[in-house]
Amino acid sequence: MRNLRFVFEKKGRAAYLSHLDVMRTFSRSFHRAEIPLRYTEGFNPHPFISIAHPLSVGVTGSREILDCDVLTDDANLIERVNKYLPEGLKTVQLSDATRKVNEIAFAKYQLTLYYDNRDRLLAAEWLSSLFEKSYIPVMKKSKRGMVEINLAESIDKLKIDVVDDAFGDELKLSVLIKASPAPLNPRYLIESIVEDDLRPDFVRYHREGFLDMQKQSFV
Amino acid sequence: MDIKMERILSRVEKPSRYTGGEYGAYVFDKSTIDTRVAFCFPDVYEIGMSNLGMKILYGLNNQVPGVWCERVFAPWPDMEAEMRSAEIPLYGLESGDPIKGFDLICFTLQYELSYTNILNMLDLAGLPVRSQDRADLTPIVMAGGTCAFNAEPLAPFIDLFVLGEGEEVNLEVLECYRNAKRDGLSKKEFLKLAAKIKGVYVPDFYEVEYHADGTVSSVRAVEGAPERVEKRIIQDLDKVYYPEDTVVPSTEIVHDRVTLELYRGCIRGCRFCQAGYVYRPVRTKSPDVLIEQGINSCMCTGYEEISLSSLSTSDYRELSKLCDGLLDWCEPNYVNLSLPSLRADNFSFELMERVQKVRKSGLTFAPEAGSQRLRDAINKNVREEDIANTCRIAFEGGYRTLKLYFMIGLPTETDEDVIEIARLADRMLKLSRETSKGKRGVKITVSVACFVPKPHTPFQWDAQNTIEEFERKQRLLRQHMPKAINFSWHDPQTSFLEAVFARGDRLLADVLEEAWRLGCKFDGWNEHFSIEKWRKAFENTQVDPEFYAFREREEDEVLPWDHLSSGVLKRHLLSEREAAYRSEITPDCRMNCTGCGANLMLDGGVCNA
Ligand code: SF4
Repeated sequence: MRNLRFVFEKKGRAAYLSHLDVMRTFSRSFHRAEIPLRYTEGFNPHPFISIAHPLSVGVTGSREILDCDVLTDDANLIERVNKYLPEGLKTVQLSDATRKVNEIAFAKYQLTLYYDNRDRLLAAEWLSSLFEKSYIPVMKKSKRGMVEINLAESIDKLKIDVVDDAFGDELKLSVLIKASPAPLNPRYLIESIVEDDLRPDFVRYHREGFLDMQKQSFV
Repeated sequence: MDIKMERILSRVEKPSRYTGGEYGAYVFDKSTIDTRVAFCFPDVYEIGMSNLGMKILYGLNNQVPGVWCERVFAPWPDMEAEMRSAEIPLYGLESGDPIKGFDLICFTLQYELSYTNILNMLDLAGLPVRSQDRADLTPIVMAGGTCAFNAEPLAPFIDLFVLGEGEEVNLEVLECYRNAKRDGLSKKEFLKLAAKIKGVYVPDFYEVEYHADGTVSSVRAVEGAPERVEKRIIQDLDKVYYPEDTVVPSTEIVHDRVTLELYRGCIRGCRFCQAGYVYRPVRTKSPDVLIEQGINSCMCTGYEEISLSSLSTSDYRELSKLCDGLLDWCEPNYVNLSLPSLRADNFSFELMERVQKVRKSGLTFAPEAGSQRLRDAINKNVREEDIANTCRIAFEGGYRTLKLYFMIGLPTETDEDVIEIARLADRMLKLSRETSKGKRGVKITVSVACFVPKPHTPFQWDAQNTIEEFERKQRLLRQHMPKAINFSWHDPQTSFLEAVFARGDRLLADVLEEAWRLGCKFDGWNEHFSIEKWRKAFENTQVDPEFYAFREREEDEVLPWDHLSSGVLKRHLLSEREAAYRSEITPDCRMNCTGCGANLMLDGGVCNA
């Protein structure tokens, strides 16, 4: 038995799959590839598969982590699995799952902000100063209803870039979001913008990968 | 994915309904393709993708070189609004191309309440909804499925219908179309050729006349079309195409598993059941073929469940052999086997125990009527003792839920029959208390539907109960139903509308179009169904819906679907109706053939029930 770590990308049409969809799809592709899995004991056996910090629907990722117990020594599993995955899901790296996922300290995101026919340079300036603050209030749903949290405590190394694009209306925002105590959904970054004219018309969310405490790549 | 679509998908519910890109979807290089087909299911993705017929025809069309068949489902109203405002026409899930430019647009007709969705989908595609306003050969709009056996309310919208099982006739129509396109034929020339294919119904080639009272006086075939359109059946199910390597949805759908069809048709002859009549005669698949297809399907798709499906699974003669063969492979591979629609007898129960070792999912029975007298009248051959015996063993064995399905408004029903539903439920409740002493109680659910008389059944002449009558009977039931029973009932308004269209004629087409223009869609979904809009549509078109639902037909009346044949003789339906009114049962096809006529469709002419 091997406890394997599949590093995979989720993009294109697969971006719209939910966490459970991705689990189900991987598990089926293991079946299709005839890779034997270890199952739980008991009444309703299911394979040992887990995904670290699952992405929400609509968010893409380059280096997502799926751990799984397989019962084979085949070294060629990447190709075998990829052949049976649908468009948009692809294994990019495979290793033993030795490092514990709770060593993940940060998730690195890139957000693309669209300002349709608006002055993105001005927005960039304002946003930079907004996110520099040490207290950034945002309302978050919790068990006790809506509570105000300080976004500044959860983010690190936030950077806003103006890049050349076809219409001149995009900003790139890169940021590290702390993984503990609870990973924060990057949507709160946008929700913390209260000024209407700074709010983008559309945001694309992408997770580049996970970092450890030393801000080194986790896998 | 383009940014316009990306923005839309970020706003709608369940966006993966609209993306395509699933494992096993057919994607071809367009330069190798000369014919584009849209297989349209007039309901949402999760429903449409659960349908075996869709998977068969989708797979089958894509086996033909040069043909690319794509899937299309009805967008949920949130997506529809986005598509309309962004001017995105209805597209095929595989290519994302608008289906307006496709060659064949095929709808499957599973239930009457999806008709408005068909018009809406044509409109979303950017096509006129009426056949006469689509002058060109391309696209041809066709439809098939159970409701095609009374296609009349859809006649002005659909260019051609196919009757019966589609595996052969669809390919024949496809070939006829490709030849017509190659030869530069007009739409009418093509339709004349297509009408010669057995099982094809071109409604435009039938002229319908009416009496002053609104009933049909005659239906006359023109342009060389046959007087009666005979349905198609597959002679040998062991040899027919089965989609082992079907498309596997990534997102959750209603029936997310491999479905094996053990046989088509049904030996039972329940008099209310349209499927039981229009899919006659019984034809069986051999267990060896089913075992092989089940295993191959699981390997191709990665599914972890196989479901055995047919109208009455327990009637499959070699069910034990089939289950053993499948279990030999399923158990070591962690694949579940499920057996829906079993009968209430010991054999079925033991089998269920053997198959579903782990998950005691609960018992489900459909006695349909509360009293034995009425069960005899509808020929639902199940006895309360059988249900009670099975329940007793099941409750003792640890089953904790029981679901019972009934109908009210069946022909010959009295109040006594209605109240008997509550009494039967009460007896099961008492039984559950006796057998499960000291254990957690059994949850019993009673679900009561409103009977809809369907064409091609012995009750096709009968009146539906009025809405007031249904409501009165529901109240009566509520009064008598023990409090501990979880009691649910259907909305009589939707059953009423279903009854209108099930036995409707062409005059209903205007109502349908008006209702759709007034915003009706997804009528089968409670949250979208609006009886007010429908009433308005009937008013605006001056059509009386009660004429269709509540009127008992004369036995010599020309019925709007008389020219569409299921293979079962009208004479047989009449004699079954008479037997119903005498509360007499008819033996099943295995015990004694009663000569319904369906055998004549078989090569050799003899049923092997
Ligand atoms: S011909 Fe006889 S056996 Fe065949 S379906 Fe009809 S009643 Fe049943």
